Amino acid sequence: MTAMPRPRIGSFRLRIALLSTLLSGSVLLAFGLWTWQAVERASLRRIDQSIRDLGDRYLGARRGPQYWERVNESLQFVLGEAESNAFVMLVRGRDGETLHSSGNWPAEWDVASFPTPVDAGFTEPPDRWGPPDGPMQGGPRRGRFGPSMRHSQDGPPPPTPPAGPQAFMPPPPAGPQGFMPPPGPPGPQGFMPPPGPPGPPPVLPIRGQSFYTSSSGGHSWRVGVMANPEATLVLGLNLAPYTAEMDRLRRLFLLAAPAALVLVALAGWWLAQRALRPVQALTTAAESITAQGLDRRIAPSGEAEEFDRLIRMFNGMLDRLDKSFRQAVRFSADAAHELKTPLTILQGELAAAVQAAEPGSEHQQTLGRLLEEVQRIKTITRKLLLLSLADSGQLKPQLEPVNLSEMVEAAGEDVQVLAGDLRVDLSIEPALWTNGDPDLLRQVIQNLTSNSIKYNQTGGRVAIDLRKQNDNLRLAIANSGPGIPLEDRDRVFERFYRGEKSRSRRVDGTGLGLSLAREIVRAHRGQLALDESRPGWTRFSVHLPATDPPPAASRT
Amino acid sequence: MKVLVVEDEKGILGFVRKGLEEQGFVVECSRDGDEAYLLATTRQYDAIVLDIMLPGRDGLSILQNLRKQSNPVPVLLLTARSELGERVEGLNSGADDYMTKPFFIEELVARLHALARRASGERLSLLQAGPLVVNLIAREVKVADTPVRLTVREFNLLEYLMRSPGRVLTRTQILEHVWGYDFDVETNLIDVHIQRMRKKLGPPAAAFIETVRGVGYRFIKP
Repeated sequence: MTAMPRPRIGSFRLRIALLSTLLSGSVLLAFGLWTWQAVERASLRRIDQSIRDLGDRYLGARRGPQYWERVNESLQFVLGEAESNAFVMLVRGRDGETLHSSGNWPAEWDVASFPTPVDAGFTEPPDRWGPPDGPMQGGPRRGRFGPSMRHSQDGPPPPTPPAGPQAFMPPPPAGPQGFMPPPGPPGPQGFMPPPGPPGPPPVLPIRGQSFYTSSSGGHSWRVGVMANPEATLVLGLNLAPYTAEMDRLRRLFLLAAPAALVLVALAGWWLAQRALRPVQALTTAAESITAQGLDRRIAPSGEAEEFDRLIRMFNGMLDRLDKSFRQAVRFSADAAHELKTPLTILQGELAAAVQAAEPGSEHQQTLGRLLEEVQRIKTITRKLLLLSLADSGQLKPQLEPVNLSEMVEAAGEDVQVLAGDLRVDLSIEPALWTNGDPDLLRQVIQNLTSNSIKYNQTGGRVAIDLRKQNDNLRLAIANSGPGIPLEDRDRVFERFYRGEKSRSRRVDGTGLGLSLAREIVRAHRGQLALDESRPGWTRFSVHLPATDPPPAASRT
Repeated sequence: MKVLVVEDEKGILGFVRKGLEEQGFVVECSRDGDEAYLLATTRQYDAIVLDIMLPGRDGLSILQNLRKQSNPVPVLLLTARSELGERVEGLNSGADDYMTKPFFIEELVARLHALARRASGERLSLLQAGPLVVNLIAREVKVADTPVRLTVREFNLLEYLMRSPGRVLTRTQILEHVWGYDFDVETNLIDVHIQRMRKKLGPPAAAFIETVRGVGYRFIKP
């Protein structure tokens, strides 16, 4: 998130989009799984129903000779002759003997594991339900006859007469009208139902219907086990068509879901952007508000009540901030002004008293010291006034051409005089001019040079460098010394900030100098920065716009 | 030299009047703007010291009205509040000079002299004390016709001292005038400069600059 180009808005928008995608993705997935399962269950139920129908059809009737073989053939016909793997079939008799087994019966399926009719609960002999070769064929049972739709590939299958030479015993009843023998000519071994009195055929009970899925030989089978008193029928239908259908469904889902998710993500992104628009407007407005623009207000978005409330609240906060800021600025301006009159009187009277006093007397020295203290208050008052002007955006220097080279030269001279033990390196390009207020610029230079002495070490070094860089003048003032601690680097321009070292050593100053210097330089459309600070070396630099020397460059 | 001082603060007016009179000025005072305007338009002065904030008519409007009537009397404005703005406004209104409160009386005296000289077209180019001659235009210093090379600071310092002979000038006062408005550096800066300057000027002239112990310096005219 930190790597985002616009960390704030971007990440929130992204988060909303991602969250909505995640949520709808989960819902979609859950829904898909549920649908999948429902479809699967329904399909299996349908298959089971088919197996049950077939079982009903074949087990419900009394069997004749070759009955199960014919059933096998019939099933082959119904389920597709070509597909030898469409079904598997096993029939067990009461004694566990295999009455019939389809050719493709999987070897690994143990025949003995399937129940006999006795196992299924038909303990009484089958004669009870009539002779095995009774005149009646299978009939409807529990009203559940009739072909299952799934297996009828070409209409209701059971009564279809076989076209082949073999006579075919259609096992299931065709409908309520009972079984009618096919009208076609009977084959050589044609099976004719023995004549008998018409009527509903006797019905064999069916028990032990159970269904499960098993696989063998690379095929999945849905297996149903059913029994009547004479035989147990194990009928397995190949699940391949069903699996293919489910595969198609899955493919569809896997294709559609990502597309849907992409759409949701895009919609989420768009929604988030729309929702955040008033916040963005608020942020832009808040960014443009500085100490000089506290009177600015944000117009209500009119988009949503929640945001309008936020904007009202924000504007209210600005009102209060503006008010207290104005008060603070006015206070320091007023205080500085109010101090000036008594200071003027104090200084005037003290100066007069110094003149009147006995030269060199104790009295005169006391007055002199008092005068110096007055001077100090005067200095602080003036700085506070200038700072309050800067804060209210009214520090507008009266510009005139200033020979910065001369000014810096003189300051360098002072450093050489003041700090006899320091090595002073001056590198000053001559005749560089800037537009500015000489008093204020002098103040900046004096502040920086005096700091370079104050925060130096014995036997240290001061380097002053003034040169022209493109359209700017660059003044760099550097000094040896302990340097500014890392944690204080941003604070050196704060008001009343004074370095640890300056408090432990006896150094004069108010802690306003750098802060004021920066404001002054800014008011001249320049920059003052702490360029370099490491243990042993500190460098401040001032950039000011250069200007051409005035035509008659007389002395300043 | 006759000066009108317009200032509503009694305390300031008091020491200004006293200081100027000590320096030989004839001083008339007013603490009200309307009264001051009446005085300025009816009487003849060599210069007017005008405070901006006044009861009645304020200083700037007095000044503007005087200039409208083509009254060329030199005017020195005293400003107190947001000095930058008032300074610009004052100079645009036709003031000849301005001073920011608090100020030293010696500074005011020096400026009034300069204004009077400018008004009379006279240009004082030489300051002289015994063998010491200072040429303000050529910025040359000679002791008994021997040129002495002084730095910019030293020259300004000597000029300032010689302009107020006999006056005790405190170190901060000197700093304020020679170095600029205010200066945080220890005041021994002046001591070093004075010592160097004395050395360059040589024995007789060096003695003209007298140290007032614990206070500052004084220029003694021989």
